Amino acid sequence: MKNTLLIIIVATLGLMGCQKNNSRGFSTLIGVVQDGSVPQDQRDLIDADLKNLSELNLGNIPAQDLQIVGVGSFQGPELVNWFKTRVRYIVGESFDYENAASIVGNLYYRPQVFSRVTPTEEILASNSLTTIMVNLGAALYRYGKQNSEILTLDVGGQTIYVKSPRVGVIQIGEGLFSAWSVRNAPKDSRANSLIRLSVFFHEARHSDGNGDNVTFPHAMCPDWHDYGGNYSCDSHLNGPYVVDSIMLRNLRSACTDCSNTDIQTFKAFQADAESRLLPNSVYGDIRAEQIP
Amino acid sequence: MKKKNRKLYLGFWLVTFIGFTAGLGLHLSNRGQKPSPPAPPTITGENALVSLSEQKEPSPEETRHLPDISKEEVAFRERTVEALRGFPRKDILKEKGRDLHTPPKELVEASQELGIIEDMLDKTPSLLSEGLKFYKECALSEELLTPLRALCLHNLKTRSKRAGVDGKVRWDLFPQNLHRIADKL
Repeated sequence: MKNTLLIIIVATLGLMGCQKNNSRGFSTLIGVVQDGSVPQDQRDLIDADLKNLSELNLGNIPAQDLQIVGVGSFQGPELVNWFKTRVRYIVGESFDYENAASIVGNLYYRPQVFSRVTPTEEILASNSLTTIMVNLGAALYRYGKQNSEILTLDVGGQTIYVKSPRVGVIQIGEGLFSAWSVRNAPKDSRANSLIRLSVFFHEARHSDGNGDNVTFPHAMCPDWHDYGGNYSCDSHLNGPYVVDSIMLRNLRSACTDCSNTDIQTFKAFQADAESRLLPNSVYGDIRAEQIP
Repeated sequence: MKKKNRKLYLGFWLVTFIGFTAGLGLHLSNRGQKPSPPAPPTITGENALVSLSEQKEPSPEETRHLPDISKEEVAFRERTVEALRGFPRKDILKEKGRDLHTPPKELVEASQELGIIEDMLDKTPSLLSEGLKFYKECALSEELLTPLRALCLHNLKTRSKRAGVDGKVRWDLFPQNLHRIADKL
């Protein structure tokens, strides 16, 4: 009896020790894994959002929109395929990336081909505020590349190598369900679900790019801009804010029972995203680089 | 006899001529003068004129019958004046501790207010003129957040086009960047 009790205690402690970052994973309907650090209520909402994505059937999408996003149509299966290429894991606000990441090797390429701006710290700093969504995988990839290190990350019960901006680890926080939503509308309303999806698509674009524009970093807003002096603008015509804007406009058409307040909120978010596109922006190459 | 008749004949025409000339002169001199105002008519009953000193404050019952703007218009005006006063200014973005990667919460709150204003315009078409005035003022307010101004301009375009009055709006008053954003929505 005494021995059995001892075995149970040791086994429990051992399991607790292994459960770094509460790393149990939950697969969603479309195969994206949600880490155990995502609270149950948020997990349920994300499950429903991704189900909504898989069921979309939007027609009459302007050819330019399709080209900018890099997708053949706005049909559910095609959008899911695009999404899963860039988003593979979703982790919660409590996810401790410093604890979950390990350096497992060195990089042997010239870091000077890397981007002229270093937004990694800036991206991670935004984590200290009310988290809405951060492309953690892209930020860690940039960190590893800048420091000539290959990282691994324990997430969703797996250990993954951070060898591409498309490692696809997205961190979400309560802000996604409160700040980023239609006021006085339930979190699970159709409008709020579609608005959250647009944020996912914004972050998904950070999983793209190579060389100078890897992860499609945000650009410094000029002094005359509302956000002047901050890395809160886009200098790419197919950057994250433009993808955000395109998704908001087209997803809005899927909200047939939206109220005027829902629609105005969609448009306000879209206007904000559009306002961040700088004059003289250019197209960036969305093909993602990969460490062999 | 013949001589006497001739004198009478000439005398007759002389008198006639003098009479005609005097009449014509009198008529021409009267034409330059302004007519004097007619005497005020004596009116009695409901239409009687009351001097200012005699006027009283109208009772609530009387006010209700005055041909003034509707209750809806009054409520709408008050709402839009209040909305414009409360709409977020650009300087809020200078506050410390703001995450500038995401839209400010004040913009989301303003969009909720715009939703209510859109509801009122849908419900009462006679508010259109007031609505267009409000959207124009909002879009022209340089101190407001740019996305909010762009949304107001977008609503101004949508509403005025739907009503067929978009040709009467001076679109060149609005900055090009605002048009670009508004047209994307």
